[in-house]
Amino acid sequence: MSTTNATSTGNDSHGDGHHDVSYLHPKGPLWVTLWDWATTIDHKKIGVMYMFATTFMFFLGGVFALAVRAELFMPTQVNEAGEIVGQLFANNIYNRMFTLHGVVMVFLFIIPAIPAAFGNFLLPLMLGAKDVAFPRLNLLSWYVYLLGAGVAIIALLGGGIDTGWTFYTPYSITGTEMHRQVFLMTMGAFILGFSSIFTGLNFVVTVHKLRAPGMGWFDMPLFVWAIYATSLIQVLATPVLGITVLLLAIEQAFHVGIFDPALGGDPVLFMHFFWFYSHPAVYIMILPGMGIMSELIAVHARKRIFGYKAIAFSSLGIAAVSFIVWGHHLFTAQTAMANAIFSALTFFVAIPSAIKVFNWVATLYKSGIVFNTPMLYALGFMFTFTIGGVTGLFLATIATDINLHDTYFVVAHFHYVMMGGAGIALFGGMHHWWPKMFGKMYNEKAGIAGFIFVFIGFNTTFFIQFLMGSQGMPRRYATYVPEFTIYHQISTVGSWLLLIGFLIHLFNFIASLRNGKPAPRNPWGGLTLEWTTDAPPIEHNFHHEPVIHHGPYDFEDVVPPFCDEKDYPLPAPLKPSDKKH
Amino acid sequence: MTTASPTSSKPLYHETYKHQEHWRNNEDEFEGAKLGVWLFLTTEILLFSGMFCGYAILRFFYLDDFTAASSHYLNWKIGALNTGVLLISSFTVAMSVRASQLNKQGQLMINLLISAICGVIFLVVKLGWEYGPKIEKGELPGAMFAYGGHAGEYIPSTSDPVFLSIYWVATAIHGFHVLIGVVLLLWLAWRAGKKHFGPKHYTAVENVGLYWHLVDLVWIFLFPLLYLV
Amino acid sequence: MNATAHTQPHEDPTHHHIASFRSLFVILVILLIMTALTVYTAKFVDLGEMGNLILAMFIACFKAILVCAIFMHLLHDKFLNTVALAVCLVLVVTFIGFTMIDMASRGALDPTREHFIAPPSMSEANINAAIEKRDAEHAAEGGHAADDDHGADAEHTEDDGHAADDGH
Repeated sequence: MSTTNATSTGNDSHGDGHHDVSYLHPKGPLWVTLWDWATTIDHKKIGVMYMFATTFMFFLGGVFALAVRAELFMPTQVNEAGEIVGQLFANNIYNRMFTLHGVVMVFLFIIPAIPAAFGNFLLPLMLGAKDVAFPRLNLLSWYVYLLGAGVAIIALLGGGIDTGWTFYTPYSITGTEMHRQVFLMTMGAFILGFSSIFTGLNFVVTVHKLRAPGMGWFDMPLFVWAIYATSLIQVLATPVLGITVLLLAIEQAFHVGIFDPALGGDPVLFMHFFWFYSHPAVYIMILPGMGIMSELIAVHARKRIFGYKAIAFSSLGIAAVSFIVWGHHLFTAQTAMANAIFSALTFFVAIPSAIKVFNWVATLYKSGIVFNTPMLYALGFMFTFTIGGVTGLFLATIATDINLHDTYFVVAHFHYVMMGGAGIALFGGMHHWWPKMFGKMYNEKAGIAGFIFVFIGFNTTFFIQFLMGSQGMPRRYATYVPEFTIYHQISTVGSWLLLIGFLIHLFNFIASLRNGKPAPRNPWGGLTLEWTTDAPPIEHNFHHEPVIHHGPYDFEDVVPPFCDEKDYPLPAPLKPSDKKH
Repeated sequence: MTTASPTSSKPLYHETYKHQEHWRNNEDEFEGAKLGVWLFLTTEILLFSGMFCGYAILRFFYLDDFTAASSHYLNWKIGALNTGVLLISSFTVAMSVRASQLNKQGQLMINLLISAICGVIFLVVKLGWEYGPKIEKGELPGAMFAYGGHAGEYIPSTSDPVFLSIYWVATAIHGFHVLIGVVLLLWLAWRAGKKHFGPKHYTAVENVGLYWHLVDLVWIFLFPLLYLV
Repeated sequence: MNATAHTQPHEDPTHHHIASFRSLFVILVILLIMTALTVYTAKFVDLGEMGNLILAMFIACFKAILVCAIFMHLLHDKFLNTVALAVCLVLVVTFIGFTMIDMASRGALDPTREHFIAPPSMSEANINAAIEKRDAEHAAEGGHAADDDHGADAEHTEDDGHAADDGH
């Protein structure tokens, strides 16, 4: 009878005994603990496992990125003696490097990183729930992720693929020599899609059905709104990726010819299929980062977020618009009619994105900004994301895009959004919730040092690529004309600075785990529910089911839970003269 | 567990079913599970929408050829038979939900078994009367298509392999869904045999039922598109 | 666990709508009749290529609505489930619609590109030549041509190449 319920204790009295210990508390000897983690349906453990896996994938993808940048440090040339100089890898190896960088970073790191790692850990805590709606599905999603990652890594070890992460046909069917690897990699992407769907589906139901008593839709933290919008995209877009890569794998195996022009199919059809998922996927990557931003800015500036509803609805707005703009990836492939429509629609994405940025800026106005690592990352995000977003508008304009298409300008644009947006928000969020996740404080000075290296390194690497691209340096080329040498060298040096920054963060976190100061329950004075439980949280999240008494950002009205009133003084009541304007 | 009823020796599973710990009550759990399944069904529809999109575009490219290929390669009588079989199974699945709501255990079991048998009939007809002969005659998708071996008047067009690509991929993916559906229905029947479902707890019947109806829905569109027009 | 837990109003089983046998059976009969109708109109009534397609899709949509509303209980269910389905259908229409806009407008606004990317329309002579060539290869290779993709690739590419040449 208990087969359907692995967690049930059989009755309602679970206030005693082992349930009050931290979720990190070992269950016994090492193998018992490992087995407990491997079979856990606790959203926190699954989230933490996702975090370690995606961090590993980040460094794996990073190695490929460094290799690509190293190859581009010098142009490959043939000197007077007829020798090839300046070449680190053969051209076909280089092609695999940038492909694997893209595949690993997109499918294995950034899509699962924030929703699956932070979403899993934080969503139930922020909603005051004991777990996500379908805990076993959650565990399944984790193993499906591992399976997909495993298949992708087999493809990688088997020689990798050289199609670019977009798998464009007909090259990926007939042009490439890596047929088996392309088949494996597309099946890996197919499997990873299921993991993403399961996670998204779980979160949507959790938000609908498991909010704490008294928590209305507009009492939810903005991170939850962002994750909700992300989950909707995951549920609604990923199946199209599923059918796309499935058809591609079938084409690869049986040559059915739906996308292969030689057999009567159409390669542009593949582009439509692919980007119907992959454009919304861009918002799967950035939306959770925007959610993290809203939390970081409100908490570390200690001010009520400006325009709560505008930010909440702009998340849904981005999700909605994301589905009707995919054609801007095809400006050089589709017809002029489709170009005109998709270009016009693409500009609409700027509206909800700008609403968010303006609201964050307005929140910062006359607030009490604390310059710690999470806040610095939040400020860095606003800088880099704005650059990334505005250059997106240049690319949405057909006339400029025809020139800039497939140049480094595009590379710089999406790295400013992905790395400078989602990535930087992720690191900010990691510092913000680290004390809650592991109950240990990190070293603030090391964190700030890491931020400085990451921020300067990032901008050095990618800003120069805008200049390169606007002068015509095409992306994905293993070499270039010597005029671009200085640009590429600056960019490569920037990638080393980035590496230093990430390593500082990594060692800071490891040091924190080994001998960090124990974290208080609420180190930043946050008002959302996750700060009301222990650090790290107990197995069932809360000692008693939380009841909502105040909004997530009422910093002017309440002293944060478990904080001293001296540290967080409430503002004096407004004088009548202040209210006038 | 203590018994809820003082008279019977051991209460049935569905009478004493208690929701998982993180839900607040059984009703929430039921509604949550159903919402989850509906979201899953939306993913299924979008998955098949890829096939429909491919069909629409390629049909637009090869307008007359597709119509000719459809009537030459596919027998609408087999398609119609399978449509009828699936519609009847959909009805029996809806009846099995009703039976569990009314606690009619015998009816529940019979309806589930009929549905599973209908699914099996669908697959047998598909494999035996369509896939089998097609493989023999070389009416295969894409590059595997055999231009030779066509007896009689019919001259295969070069777009026939494209039509067959869509046909094979769409029906194979659909058939795979039918296969999963049959397994799920048999699982339900096995659980129904252990009296797991009743008025207070029939989440699995309801949700597998929804999935089965979706498989039926996809076929409702695939049948006319592939076999008729 | 105690007995009172099962007498709370939110767990009352009568809360859910139970479809009557009659309604389910009537729907089944309508669905079967509609299937017969769609076969009849498509196979024995000529409304033109588009006419038959539109009628068949219209009937299919009607059938789908019946299945969703009655068999899948959407009529008596939480509205949220209907919203989920509706959003999904809007996206399906978006997906197919926008892709169609692109594909259908090929060559429409830029006549110079028509012959490069217009849908491949092959002449009768080309088809016959392709078949003869394929049959010859088939005979030469001892009946294994069906598994070989390269023959078909080469022919088709060649034909496309001709079409492009003709365009200039």
